[in-house]
Amino acid sequence: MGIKLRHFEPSKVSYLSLPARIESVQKLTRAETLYRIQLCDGRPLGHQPGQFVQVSLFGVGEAPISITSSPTQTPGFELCVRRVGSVTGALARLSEGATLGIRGPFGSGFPVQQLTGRNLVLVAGGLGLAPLRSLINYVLDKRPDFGEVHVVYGTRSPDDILFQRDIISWSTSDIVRFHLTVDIAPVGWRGNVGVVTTLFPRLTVDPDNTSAVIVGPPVMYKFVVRELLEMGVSADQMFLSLERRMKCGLGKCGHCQINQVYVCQEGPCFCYADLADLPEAI
Amino acid sequence: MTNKFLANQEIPSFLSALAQEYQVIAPVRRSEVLPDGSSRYSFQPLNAGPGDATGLSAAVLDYPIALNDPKKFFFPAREELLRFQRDGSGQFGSARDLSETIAPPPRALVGLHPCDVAALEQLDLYFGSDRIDPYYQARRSGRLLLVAVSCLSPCSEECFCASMKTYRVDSGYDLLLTRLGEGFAATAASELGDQWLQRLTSLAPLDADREELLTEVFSEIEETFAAGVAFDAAAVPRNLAKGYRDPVWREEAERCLSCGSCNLVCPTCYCFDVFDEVDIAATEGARLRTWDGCMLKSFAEIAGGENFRAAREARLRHRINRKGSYLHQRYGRLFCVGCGRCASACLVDISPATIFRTLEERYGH
Repeated sequence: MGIKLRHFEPSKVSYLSLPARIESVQKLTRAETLYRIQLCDGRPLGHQPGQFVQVSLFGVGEAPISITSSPTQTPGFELCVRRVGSVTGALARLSEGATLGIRGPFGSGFPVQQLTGRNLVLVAGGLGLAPLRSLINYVLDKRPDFGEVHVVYGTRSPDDILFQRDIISWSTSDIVRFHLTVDIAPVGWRGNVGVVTTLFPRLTVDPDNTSAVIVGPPVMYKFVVRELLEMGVSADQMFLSLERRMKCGLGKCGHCQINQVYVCQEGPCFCYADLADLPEAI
Repeated sequence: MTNKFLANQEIPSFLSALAQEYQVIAPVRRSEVLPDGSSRYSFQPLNAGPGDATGLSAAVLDYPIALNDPKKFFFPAREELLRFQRDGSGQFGSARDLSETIAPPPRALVGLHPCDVAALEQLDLYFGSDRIDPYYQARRSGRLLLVAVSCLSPCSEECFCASMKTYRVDSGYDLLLTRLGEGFAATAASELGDQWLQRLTSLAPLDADREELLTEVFSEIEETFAAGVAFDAAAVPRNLAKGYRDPVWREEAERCLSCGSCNLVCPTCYCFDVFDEVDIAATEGARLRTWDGCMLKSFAEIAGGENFRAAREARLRHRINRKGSYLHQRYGRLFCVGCGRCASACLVDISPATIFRTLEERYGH
């Protein structure tokens, strides 16, 4: 047990990015936009669900962005970006055909091997659905490899719901059980209102054979983990993705450090049981 | 290995000989005078490059400590990583990796104290492991002669190299100068250092009397520093782990000003920020990095506004654990050399030594 610190065969790194083209732009909400991107040299990105890239715009800078598409869905890959800083603000002004720089993919992905054969409870809060979607669609594309699959998604309001097309398909599919809640709802909303854990009583899974993957804002983790532990899901079968400030993606700049780990190297996906080693994590 | 005697009057010719082949970098006295009348020193290039012998007389080999260690010559406070051309029409543009253009002149770093040698070895380990930093490596792998100077006694009240066991180092340099009365014993510690001593034919070999004296000086160094040991460095990682939730973090951090001075002067701090700057026509620019500091409030803040080390005590705990525990877990060694620069620069007297000692008192038994 415990976090294994990653060491690599020494190799020189580069801050150069690969040019990539925006194939399509789809506005998802007031603040979030979905970009389908293809590397200009035509090669696949070669990522795992849960990994991230550094998006580069010369003169503006770089920002770490999680990959939201499953590696099973090619060509290209997708990024879901919330307009919140300088790079994401400049990205929001780009349209189809524009080019940008991509470095990566970086980090450890979700442990898909370990999840194989298990029932899955996949929990997303807010923008956490963006990285988790890479895993959800991966699982659905390899559906026979997994047991019962629940996707639980909580967001602020109906206007903030991301990936409505995916959600319609998940809601109407009989291969996945999709549960949605919002914190605040206008009159006429017929769905659930309340934080994401209010949906948990609906999850009818055998905890002994269940793994959970959780991605959301920092404040969400404690509550979701506590509920899942009470349901009987074991700590070593819970996986989280942690957000941190990142500048290099190479384990050098020091910004993403949590105790002894570099989130860009050992993370961003961690097993909850291992986080006992990292008091700063959640 | 060759040993010679470098008499005081031979120092200029020694530096001139080095200046034939190297840019000589050494401590010089800074112009400002402190309120107590003392001076500060900093490492500066003395001559323009190999073949230029001007400026060498500014070198000071007997000095307490340099304001900054020589890290800046391998990892500058500000450096361009890429130069880019922008394309105004929503296109990415193109860039050049500047690590390929780094070609420092041959350099002789003269006057490093043992703690600075130890710090450089730690940075070598960090930047040269796993993902190798090509900028650091390009500067570090250039032709280099390292001439260290022995410390005979602690350089300040704040230094704690006695405890960190970095007051003497056995590796990481080519030549060692140790003060012996009217000159220095010059001892070679590498093949390059040995070659230099053999070439400097005007220097007398270290005679038997001086050999004996040198042995005495080394044992005096051991005695002097042994008397100054304040904590057990080997127990630091364990005590930090046990003391993770100790009140010492709050007690010490309460007065922290979050100014980042400790980061700025630390020879083993390497964290950096990366950002872009464009020229006035906005058609080209550079992606560059500058030193950053984990004690600054915004260091762990993300775009969404969440700050993962918003509290001063969390930042202090991170910095001290990084030196004494976190990197020890990754690389098996401490990343602090006890130079005391952080404690000297601190306006409110926070020192790793105090924290290490406090934790040892509370958890060391």
